[in-house]
Amino acid sequence: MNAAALAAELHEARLQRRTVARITDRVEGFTAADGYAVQREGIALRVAAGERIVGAKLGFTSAAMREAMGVAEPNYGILTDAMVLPDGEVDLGELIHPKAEPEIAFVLGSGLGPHPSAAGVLSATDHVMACLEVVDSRFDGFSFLAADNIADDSSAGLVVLGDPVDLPADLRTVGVVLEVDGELAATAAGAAVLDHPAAAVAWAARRLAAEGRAVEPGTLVISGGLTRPVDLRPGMVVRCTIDRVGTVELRTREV
Amino acid sequence: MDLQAAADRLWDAIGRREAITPLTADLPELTVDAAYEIQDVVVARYEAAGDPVTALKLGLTSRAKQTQMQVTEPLYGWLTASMALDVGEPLATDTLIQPRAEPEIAFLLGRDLAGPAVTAADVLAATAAVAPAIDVLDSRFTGYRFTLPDVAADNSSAGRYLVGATLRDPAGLDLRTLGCVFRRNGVLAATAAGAASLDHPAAAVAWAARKVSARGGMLAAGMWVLSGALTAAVPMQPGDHVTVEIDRLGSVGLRAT
Repeated sequence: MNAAALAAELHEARLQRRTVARITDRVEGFTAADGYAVQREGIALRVAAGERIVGAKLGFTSAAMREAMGVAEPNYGILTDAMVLPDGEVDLGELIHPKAEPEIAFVLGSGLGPHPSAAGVLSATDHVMACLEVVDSRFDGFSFLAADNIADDSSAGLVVLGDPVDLPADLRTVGVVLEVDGELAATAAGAAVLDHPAAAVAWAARRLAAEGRAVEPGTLVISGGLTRPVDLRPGMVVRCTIDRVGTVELRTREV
Repeated sequence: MDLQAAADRLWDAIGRREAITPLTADLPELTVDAAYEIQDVVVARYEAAGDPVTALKLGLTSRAKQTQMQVTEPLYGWLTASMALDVGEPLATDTLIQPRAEPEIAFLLGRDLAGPAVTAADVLAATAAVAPAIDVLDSRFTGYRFTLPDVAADNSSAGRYLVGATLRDPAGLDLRTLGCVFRRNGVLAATAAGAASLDHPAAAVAWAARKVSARGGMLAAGMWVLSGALTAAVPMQPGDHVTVEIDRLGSVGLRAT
């Protein structure tokens, strides 16, 4: 396996807005660990191009998704400043086959230990935000195995964030309402992500620390899709309301 | 078409705890209106047996389920005193055919609700309290395979119901965004928010008030209304245990024997 070559291929695919064949179909025995090696190389390419690492995202946080993919644990991807939109305007011309999903975003403050639990994450959380994550896969037909998805930075695309709020009392039971063009698309509660969004953040923080990536104060972690994703098409308004956390909206356009 | 005979089949299935084939297999022309007349006959039999109506339940309030069944309206059914479970009381599965549980928000009406123009806001103004609830479905049709008129005739699969003992005043609550966490045997089964029932649980109750009024009835003060499932139902077999947590309203659990 040539991690640098695979990373370069995915990097080019993203820049040229085209898809490539799954790695697991081409590289025999391609593992999740191999996937993370490709992901690291891919992020290094983005950093070399001037992007700055701002945090992490989680994937496969729903039990149903993990069961469907035959994996026992979630995965993570790295977020850079170029992925965080300053407003809710999503230019579909920059993406391949994007989907949006509602999430709870955490910004960590200081005091996160090396092996944080959900409670540790909550005590170290500076603020939270409602979030719409735009995921986009660089693989044909948005189809992949777990190791492919890890290599592809967990399908990271763009992130739209709502206004920061103080941590509410119980993120496990907060209600989530996803609307598309004013019509109800899906609902959930915070527990949809690993039984508690902070448990998902704690898992990611432990993995990042194990990989030698320091979780500095100010790190953004988006904790995983709370509902099924919705396909994005031009002229669409997607709105996510999370009780006690806030509202975030994105609008799609094609230039 | 013999509505009494159809009601007899359902009443017999309830008494014998044996599933039957859909009514529409023999009555392909059965309309939803006629099906509600069959439901009326079945409910009258509970009442004639000294088992009064205590609550109303809604069915098919999920837009996804409506699309799947190609309908645009929900359904209602009547719950009686013998169907009520109390907090801590187990669900005796041997008294039912194929019970399934689903999480709901229950409304206790403080005033009568009737008329063709009842809105969600009217419902909230007339509501004395809301509480977390568990609706135990028990379709009389084998494997829950039925068409819309079948399930309307079958009293919307009414089986048992449990209202949690945590009452909240709905004033100041946005029921639409309340989170619901549903667990079965300690494992997360599903999550939802209040909007999962007809965009707003009070809108579902308002629909029922209008529909019951149009058929000559009303929702009376003191009655509970179970406002429709927030997630998919889960089977209840002996030893199973479910818990429903509704943010700000509280939680309620039910175990099956």
